[in-house]
Amino acid sequence: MAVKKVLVVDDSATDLKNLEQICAGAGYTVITATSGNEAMQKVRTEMPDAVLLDVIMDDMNGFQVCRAITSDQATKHIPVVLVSGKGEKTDRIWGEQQGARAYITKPFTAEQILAQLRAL
Amino acid sequence: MEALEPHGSASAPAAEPAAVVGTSAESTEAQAAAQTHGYMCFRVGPLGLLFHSDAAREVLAPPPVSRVPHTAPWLQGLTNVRGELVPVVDTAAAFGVARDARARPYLLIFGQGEAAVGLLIDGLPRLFDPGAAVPRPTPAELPNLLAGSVIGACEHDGRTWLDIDVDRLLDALARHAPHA
Repeated sequence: MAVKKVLVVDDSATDLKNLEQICAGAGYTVITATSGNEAMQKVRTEMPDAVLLDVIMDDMNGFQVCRAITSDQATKHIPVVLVSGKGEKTDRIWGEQQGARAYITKPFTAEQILAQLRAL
Repeated sequence: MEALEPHGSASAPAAEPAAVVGTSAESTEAQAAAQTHGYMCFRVGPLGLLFHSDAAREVLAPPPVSRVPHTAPWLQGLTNVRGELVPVVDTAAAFGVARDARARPYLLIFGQGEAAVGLLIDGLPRLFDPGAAVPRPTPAELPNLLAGSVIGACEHDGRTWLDIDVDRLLDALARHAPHA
């Protein structure tokens, strides 16, 4: 499925802007959220083609948001890519067990993000 | 046992709880299972425990802890997880069993904010397919701190797995943690 609309979720304004610019610059339609709860709301209302999801957030963390997206019949088809500063092998394993399609460790490059979106 | 009925569509029974991801094929299998079923499992010594995966927050390598005086011996102390103080429970000690010394310990964190609690477990949690398990009566003898939290049991690959209500377990641990 060709990804056109991407939901970017990050509670860091800097990282959010960076990801937004990378995706928008490549022609994707970008919507944003700054918390897990807002992400869940936008996933349901906007139905993005993919989600780039930070892990460390104050309310629901990215693992929990990912689990909620991938276990909901209405949203389980939406691929989730975790983008996190947590780079332990345990985090990758846990992320995949929550249904994430891929795991990108911060700091990332624009090419890493775009290659992953193209691969979905 | 109702609590262990599969969620959503059935998938092929697995001989083992889905393996920790290592290859792309395994990864795809784990993701598919994760999206179909809501259960994960972990081990504490001889005990196998199931929980609904929504309950768990994350898994960490055991971090350093600071002991808190006048608490139960099984409460190892508090750890700082990104600025959040999280009680760390030596789960094997709390249940009165010996941990599996061959397995690498991990800290499985449930709950958010002030309600967050970390349980030390043996090995990583794994996906669990309840469709591949056979319901069994709940064992009559269970550790005191665990007994009130067990809502069902099943057998899978020769091991008994106890289905636990995580909220009840955390409540029981919180009630018994102060120990002057």
